[in-house]
Parts: sequence; structure tokens; C-alpha cells
Amino acid sequence: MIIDAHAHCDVRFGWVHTPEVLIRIMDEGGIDQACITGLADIPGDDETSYPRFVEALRAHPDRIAAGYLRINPWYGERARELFRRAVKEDGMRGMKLHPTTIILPPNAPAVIDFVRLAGELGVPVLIHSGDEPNALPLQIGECAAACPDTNIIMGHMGGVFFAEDALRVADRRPNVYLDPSGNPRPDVVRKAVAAVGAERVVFGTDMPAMHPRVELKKIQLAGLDRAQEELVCWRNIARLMDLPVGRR
Amino acid sequence: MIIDANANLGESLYGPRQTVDELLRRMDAHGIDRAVASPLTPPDLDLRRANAALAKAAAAEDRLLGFGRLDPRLGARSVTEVRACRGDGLRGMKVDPFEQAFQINSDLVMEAFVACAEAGMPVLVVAGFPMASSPIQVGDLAARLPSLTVIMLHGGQLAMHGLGIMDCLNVVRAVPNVYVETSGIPETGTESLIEHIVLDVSPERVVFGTNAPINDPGMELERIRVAQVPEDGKRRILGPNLARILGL
Repeated sequence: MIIDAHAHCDVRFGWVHTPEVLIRIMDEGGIDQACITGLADIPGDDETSYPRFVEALRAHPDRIAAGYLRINPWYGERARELFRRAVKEDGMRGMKLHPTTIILPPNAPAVIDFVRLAGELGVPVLIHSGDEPNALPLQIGECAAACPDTNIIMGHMGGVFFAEDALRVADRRPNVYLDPSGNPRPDVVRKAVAAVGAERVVFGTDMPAMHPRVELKKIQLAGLDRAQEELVCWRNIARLMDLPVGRR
Repeated sequence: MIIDANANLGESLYGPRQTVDELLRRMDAHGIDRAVASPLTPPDLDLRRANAALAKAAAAEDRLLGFGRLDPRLGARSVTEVRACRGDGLRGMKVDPFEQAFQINSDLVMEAFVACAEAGMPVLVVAGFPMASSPIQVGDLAARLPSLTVIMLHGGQLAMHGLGIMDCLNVVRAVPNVYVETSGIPETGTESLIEHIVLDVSPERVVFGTNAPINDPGMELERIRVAQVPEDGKRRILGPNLARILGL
């Protein structure tokens, strides 16, 4: 069983990444289920984004297991209300924050408000991290310290240059989980498991930007035992997102 | 015939290390016939000694294509080093703007690159460092020195955000003496940078590289295998393009 904790499903920026396209790539890569996020921050310039995302979540629930709603904190109360309704009425199981597209660092008060809200609603937040000056692991660490009741998945595990900081932050903050998606270094999964345990590492691909076959190579290279591999490849994300497969 | 355009030898101040035997074993394990090899920045920072050792290793092993490691900040001393490397039989030079601290298109380093062009030595540029070697800066260097062959390592994408993708494509289109090496490019999924260069510009402008031992050859080969380009394009990427550049 492999669940991708970090996939994108949307039609935007010239990408036509419908649920059907996603499932075709999942089949090529041997991915059983995916947790998805869109490509547009909501609210935003495209009013059709939200209904399209909910529709994508409902189309193939056996393969597209859950969604993180991509939120734009600049919309304040309107965004808060939209997220509350998404969780309570539309079955949303997570929040996604992308510092580059919302132009805010994760430790900004406006972002912390939203990360706290996710914790109050009992869902995790996937935050892109990496090489931009407003997407640093240490900033996510401050956010995690301010929101101890929210589980935070650090997407890309600090990117090309900040894997060391990602490990430091996860070591200090028990509510931080590491997602090595896209990270080009072959040793990040092994280092993450060694530093914080397999319980806090989640496999992700960042499809369609990355290909699952390339991403799965990193898992193979980590030399995990069977129990560790199960945690990383699906059990952790199934628990974080409260997926049906984890409740069996 | 598979040729790796970017392997590293020796011991790095920053941690990675690889002996000739280790590299040859990795090449054998992945069916790689020949490899461009250059020295890692040694702990004693003595690039002259590292280049001399590399030249000796490459002279003793046909499968290695020796490149020197250049600190291009040193004016006349850099020029002397380029000529010494040429004299030792090395075929090109590699520069790392992070480890040696310079901007790739700065006037400071132009004299060294003119010397590379005059010696007929292509230059491997570790590319994608913000401030130091963004794709558009690498393009500026190459446009100003049309007789210099520039190989932009990592597709200029040493970052998780993809903000340099458009510039890399534009540079390849506009500047004919730029080639793109593939190791560690994060965006290798749907409509990837590799696919765009091959399909929209030319299949001759991409060269396969591993960045071993920092990146993993198996993972790097998978990046090429998953690309949605004609098989002939993949074949050229994996060897013939570099063979042509180096006049093999």
C-alpha cells in the first residue's frame, strides 16, 4: 500500500491535471491513493477553483483519498469561514499553505491564525518549504511552536538547501512531520527516519511536478525495514488525515 | 552508450567523498559507460593539487573524462590554472559559485572564462543558486562569451519552487552555447523542463548527469526514463550529446 501525501489535482497555469490524469500517473508509479491539493489559493482570482476541487475529491474516492484546501490567508475572515465550512460540510481533511503564492512566511501572524484554526478543526496543515526566503524550515518551526495542537507536514523537507534545518525543526517540534517530495537528495528519507523516527516521515510526490517513479527511488534507497516503510508509505498519512484505509 | 556529464571525485570539505573505484562500481551497477569526473572542493582548499590528482586518475582510466575544478576569482592565477589543466590533459572545467563564492556573470570572473573558451574547455556550472547562478545569470555569461560552451548543471533548478524553469527554457532557446544537465532537477513529472527543451527547442541540448555521489545514479537515470519524449531523444541525452560536445 502506497499513499501519496502530496499530490496536485487542478487545471491551471497550463497544467491540465484532472483526477483522471492523476490516476493514470498513479498507476504508472504504483501509487494506490493520493491526498491532493489544488494549484490555486482560495479565495482568489478563480471562483470555480473550490467547486472544482470538491468535485475532484468526490470523483474517485477509492484513489483520491482526501484533500488539503489551499488557503489564502490575506482574505481573513472570509477564508476562515470558507475553511470551516469545507471541513464541516464538504469533508475537507487538511489545509495547504504555499508561502510563495500567498507571499507570506509561515511564521507571519496571519498564517499562524490559520494553522491554529486547522488544529482546532482537527486537521493537519501541509506547508511548502524550500529555498525561498519565506519558506524556510526555521520559520515553520516558529509556526509549529505557536500552534502546538496542529500537525504540520513540512512539504519537500526544506528543499535543496535546508534539509539540515528541517531535521532540526522536526527534532524540536513533535507536531512537525517531514515530506521529502521533490527533494533531489537520495539520502533525505534515511536521515529523516534516523533523526525523528519513521512515525514522522510521510511519503509524497508533488505530482504532477515530480514523477512518482523518481520519488519512490528515494524510499528504496533509504533501506527501511518493513514496519518503517509501512509507516512512511501510508500509515502515518492515513492517521494524520483520518483516512478510511487507516481505520480498517 | 551512457555517459555521465557530472560525477565528482575525491573528498569534499562539505562531506561527500568518492574514490575512483567507488565511482567505477557505481557506473557498473547502473550501466554507465563513461563519466565526466571533477574534484570536489578538498578540505585543504588546494584545487591545484586536486586537479593534478584528477588528471592522473583520468589518464589511467579510459572511462573517466577528466575536468578540473576552477576558482575563477583569481584573475591571472585562474588563467594559469586553466592552462595547467589543459596541459595535464583535462577536457573542461567545473565551477561552483556557492563553494567558491562568486556571481557567475560577474566581471570579476570573466578573465577565467575567456581562458576556458580559448583553451576549448567547456565549463560545468553548478547552477540555480539564488544571487550567484540563476539560469538567467548563466545565460548572460554564455551570451557574452559565445565561444565558451556552458553546461548548466541541475537545469539551473537548485530549488524547490520552480521559479527558474521559464528562464532556463528561454536561455536554452536564445543562447546556442548553453546545454542543460539533468541531475537533481526537481520538476521531472508532467510537462517537465527536460520535455520542454527536447520537444520545443532541440533534443541535442540536454545531457544526462548524476552528480554522484551527492545524487544517486539510479534516481537520476529514472528522471530520463520517465520523460515523455521520443526514445531517440532519450538516447541522445544519455550519451551522444555530450560525446559531440567533447569531440569524443
